[in-house]
Amino acid sequence: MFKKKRNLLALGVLLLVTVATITASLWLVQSPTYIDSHQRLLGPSAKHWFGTDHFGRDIFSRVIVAARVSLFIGVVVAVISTIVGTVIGLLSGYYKKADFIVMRIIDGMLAFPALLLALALVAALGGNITNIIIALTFAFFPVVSRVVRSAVLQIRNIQYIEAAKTTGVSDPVILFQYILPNVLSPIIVQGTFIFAKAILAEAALSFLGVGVNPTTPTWGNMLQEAQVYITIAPWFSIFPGVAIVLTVLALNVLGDGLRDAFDPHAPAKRKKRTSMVSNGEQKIA
Amino acid sequence: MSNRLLEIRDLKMYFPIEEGMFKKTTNYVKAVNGLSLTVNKGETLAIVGESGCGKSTLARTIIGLQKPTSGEILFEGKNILEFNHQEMHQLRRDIQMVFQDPFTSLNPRMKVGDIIAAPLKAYKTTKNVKHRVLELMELVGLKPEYYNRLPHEFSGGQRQRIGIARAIALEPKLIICDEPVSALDVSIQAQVINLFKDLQKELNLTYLFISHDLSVVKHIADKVAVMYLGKIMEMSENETFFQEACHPYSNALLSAIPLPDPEKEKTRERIVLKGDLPSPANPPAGCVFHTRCPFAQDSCRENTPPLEKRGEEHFVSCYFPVEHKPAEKARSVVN
Repeated sequence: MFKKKRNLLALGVLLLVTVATITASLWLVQSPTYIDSHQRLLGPSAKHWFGTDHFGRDIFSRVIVAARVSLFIGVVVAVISTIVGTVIGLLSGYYKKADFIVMRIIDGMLAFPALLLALALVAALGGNITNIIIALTFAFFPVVSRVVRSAVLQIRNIQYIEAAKTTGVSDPVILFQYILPNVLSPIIVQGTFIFAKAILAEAALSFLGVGVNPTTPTWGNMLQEAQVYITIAPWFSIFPGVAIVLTVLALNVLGDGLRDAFDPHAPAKRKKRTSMVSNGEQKIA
Repeated sequence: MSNRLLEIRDLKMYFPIEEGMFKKTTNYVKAVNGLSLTVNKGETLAIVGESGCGKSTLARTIIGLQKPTSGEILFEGKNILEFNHQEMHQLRRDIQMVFQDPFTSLNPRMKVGDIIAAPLKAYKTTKNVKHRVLELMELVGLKPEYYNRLPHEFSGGQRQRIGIARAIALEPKLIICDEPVSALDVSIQAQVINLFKDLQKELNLTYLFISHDLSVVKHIADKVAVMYLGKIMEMSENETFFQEACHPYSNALLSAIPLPDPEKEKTRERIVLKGDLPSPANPPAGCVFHTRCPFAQDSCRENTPPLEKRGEEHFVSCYFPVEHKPAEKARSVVN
């Protein structure tokens, strides 16, 4: 899948952001919390690449450091909701009796828009990183469990599952050694998309003022602070916005790439078939 | 008789047809409808019949993938339908299955060695699993270097060998073969069938061999049972069946075997049955075959003929069995 420039570029962007934010303390010239009241709301320059904010802090430093919180929340939410969703999906797809009850509960959770559900949970629990992770996990795992369940339903009736049963293989082994490896591809793809959605959702929550404590720089917090100054200091909101867009876009492209790589009918593998199909399809390809 | 390995008594397997919002059961598909048969140790019982007559359902019921509606399945004299979970688990060691489709019956993400090792690990029969797996692979004619390969690297015949190795791994007493060769090329079919025969001799196996191909059946079976709409129509020893089959349905099946000799093939008489297999949801009253039987009479439409003994190991369920020995056509198949 990395033969495609698009996928390679997406991976590059993500790696760059990740490495930059992890090593930030080693190379950032100006601390993201350093306040300089003489340098307020300056435009981009050689000294302040992305300009400065209303406290005279360097926006470039803040954007880089903010990525840490955003990516951390994204990764943790993606991993936890994928694992929870996968386990629930596997069990309800495999055991018919559990399926009905579990899926009605999941339906109920899916009835709320993810962001509204998260908003309500954070409002109830209070805004800190742990609570945001909990809230976003609750918002996203139902989708994963649905996707996994439908994949399991397809696999469950294939003969090798019955063959395993008749050779005395136990249910847990069937679930985790026979079914899970065969439904892994949609899980990974979903995980990537949830990563992107979680970053976006965290930014949205912070922007709405129910997210991470405003003293911690996150992309959402920065946008929230910047909205007052959008007419006089547009760079203040543009750069965190661009950071969000680039990261989420890269993740989505990567997710698409993964899906194509896993899907046997995807155009990526059409090369093998071109000799067999008509010219018309080759042109499309 | 202590020689009996498997005995099935009046087995019924009905699948409910559910309709409407509340899944009200409106009718049943009577896939297996009052079937009785016995399989003796060391022999091969072939079950033949057209598509949809309940052969595979029978296999799945014996192996415990489905709970039958009623009836008894006696394995070594014990009714396996009354077994609890633990006993069922132990029973699975003794009854194994070879599946029809070698492409879907192997987990595409597992290596050949792991597929064959799965039953060994499930029952922890041996400490040296790899050694045993290689032994089994040799037994079914797979090279040891295939151990780490994935199923998609193999042809249908080789995949079926993997499936057979898995089935014999636990040294079962009974192997149910659900059309094990019908998905293979004819040339490969012969190899796989010979493998089945060799293994039977070596490991003293008993086969319940489901097939719709009478040429295959003639080659491998000791006894033949003809199934139609979930019931046994006729059951006899192999030779008797191919020479003296007397149920009209058996004769129709036999007449459909093409002959290798083109001259004889030209003169081959075919008994072509009219119509299709009736719906198993609504089987005909009386003899289930009467709708298509050329000899059906009023009594056939009203009463169900019992499976009656006609000769040594020869049972027929028909009021008007074909009395004459089937003519040259059937015999020439045998010779």
